[in-house]
Amino acid sequence: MIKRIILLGLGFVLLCTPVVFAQGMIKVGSINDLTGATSDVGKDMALGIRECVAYINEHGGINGKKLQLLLYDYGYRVPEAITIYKRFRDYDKIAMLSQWGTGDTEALSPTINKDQMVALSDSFSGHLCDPKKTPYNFVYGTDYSTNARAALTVWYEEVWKKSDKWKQARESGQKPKLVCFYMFASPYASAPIKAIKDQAAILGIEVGADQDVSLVALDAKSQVLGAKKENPTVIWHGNTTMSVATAVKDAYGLKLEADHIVNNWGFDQNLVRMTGKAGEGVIGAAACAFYGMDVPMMKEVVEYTKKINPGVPQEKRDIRTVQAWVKFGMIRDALAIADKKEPITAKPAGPRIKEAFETFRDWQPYGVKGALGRPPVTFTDTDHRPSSEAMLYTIKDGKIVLFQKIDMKAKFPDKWASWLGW
Amino acid sequence: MKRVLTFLTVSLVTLMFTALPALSDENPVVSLERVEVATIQPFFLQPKIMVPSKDDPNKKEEKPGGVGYSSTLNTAYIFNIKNPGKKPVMLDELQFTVAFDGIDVNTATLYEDSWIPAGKSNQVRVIASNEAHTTILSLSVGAENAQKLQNMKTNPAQITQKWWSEISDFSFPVTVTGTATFQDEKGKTIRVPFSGKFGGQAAGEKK
Repeated sequence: MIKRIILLGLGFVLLCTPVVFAQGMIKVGSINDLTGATSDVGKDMALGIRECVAYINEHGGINGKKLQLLLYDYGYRVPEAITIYKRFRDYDKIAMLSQWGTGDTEALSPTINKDQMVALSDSFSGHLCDPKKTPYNFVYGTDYSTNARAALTVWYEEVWKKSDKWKQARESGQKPKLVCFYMFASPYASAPIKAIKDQAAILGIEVGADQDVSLVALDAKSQVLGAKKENPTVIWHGNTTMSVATAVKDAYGLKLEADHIVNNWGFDQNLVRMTGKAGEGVIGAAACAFYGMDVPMMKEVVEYTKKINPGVPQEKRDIRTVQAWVKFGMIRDALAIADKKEPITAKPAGPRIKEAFETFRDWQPYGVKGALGRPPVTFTDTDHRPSSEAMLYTIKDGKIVLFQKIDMKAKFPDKWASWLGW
Repeated sequence: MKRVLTFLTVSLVTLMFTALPALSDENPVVSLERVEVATIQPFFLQPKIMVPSKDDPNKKEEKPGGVGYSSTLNTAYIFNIKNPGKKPVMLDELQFTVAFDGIDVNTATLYEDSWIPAGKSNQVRVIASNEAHTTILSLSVGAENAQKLQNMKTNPAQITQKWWSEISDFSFPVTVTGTATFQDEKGKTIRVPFSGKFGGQAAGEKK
């Protein structure tokens, strides 16, 4: 009886005790686009980050310490990103930085590397993956160059070589031909162009003239007509969703026969909604599973969207929310490893956090196998490409479904090392 | 044995009286009081700057300024933060998305901490900045906005100009949707979702 009362009493005390964090907190600064040119997807990402941080803190934080998020808008303007970073560094004294676009990440790269400040970015530019040049830069999704090479390879192996659509062309000895649609002046869109053309040469695919398509294009007919003269069999779309949708629809309307392969920021549920019939068969890269897919940890993601931001309708949610969970899951684990070695508050923490990232071997989010559909991540002190695996999805009957997973290192073992950093 | 039993019973009863009220305390309430225009520049996309004339260096002539510099609109959001509970709470963070005419244009965050005594209300003012050029870009790139603008029979530049011109009349609705995070004295986190509307009817909405 007494034992029961004691247990009951202890249980009650525990129930009444709020989550108390051990010693202090660990600050992470996040630079996001909430008003600028990429705010459409940036907002979804920012909401996901907040929800994920709430989850982390409600599940023990970082070794019992609270993770404090400081998230600011830079409107996709590089000078504002630089100003925010300096505030984070000098005033808030953050442990590490979370970044957004290719422009601001590449612009801040010399500064953060000089400051020994680890930065994990949503820009998966291959330029940020060579630790010899950018030791403190990390990306959490398969880099754009690997995505582009993978998408072209999978299209070549699975579509060009096998589909009935190209049977006649194949048998007549026609060579496949690639044309790239992207905004020449955009750092994001132009980042993997050199790599995809190199991959075309490896696979024996001809390359036609590039087409300059604005990120804000509402009409891509002249570019489609330009490409049509080249008689391409596959188009690489390097822009973001709105622009890609415009080009895919115009290609459909003008009867351009080529197939479409798309980089990860141009492929999401909005593309499906905007392209309708024209989008059928489009192949796109993705950093992880799409929102709501049946994969481990998705239940928690959905639960926290409803718990933290109940005012945001579920239909507004997309893959970017899931990406936020992959990104901050990575931050959580790297900070925990570094903090265990020596408390993060003991400065300088940058080199320890960098080393912690470089201990990742086949890392999966939240220690759960297959979590969020993210291929396992490995970082070393000589290679910051998160993975050689690319996940390629396609639009089938108006739905996004997994098309093919490809390991580029396994497929091109003699070339993989030489692809680092571009 | 009896003493132990009595001690535990008394402890349990004491705990029930001290901790239970905290558990059942009412959550804070956040409501939008009003929206104000904090500062505004007339709608333009490229400022005109004066540069020395090529023909006559002693004269100056007007030339369009650099791309990316356009007019700014700062809006202030005044919220009532009511604490109906019996214990003070600290407003830790307030984050909300702003929509003009039902189209998301900004997400603002307030990080400054403030304590609200039991049974009292505070007011906070959050200023959110928008720039005409980046707003147009955001509306142009954003796939989600494309359909809405099409339904409203307008385009990114037209609607941005309308917002800049009519914001002082609040002829279109400004809505906010967000979540406030509070902490009680023991460090327990309380999350409160909120939404609010200020100003006129959305384009296409029946009067």
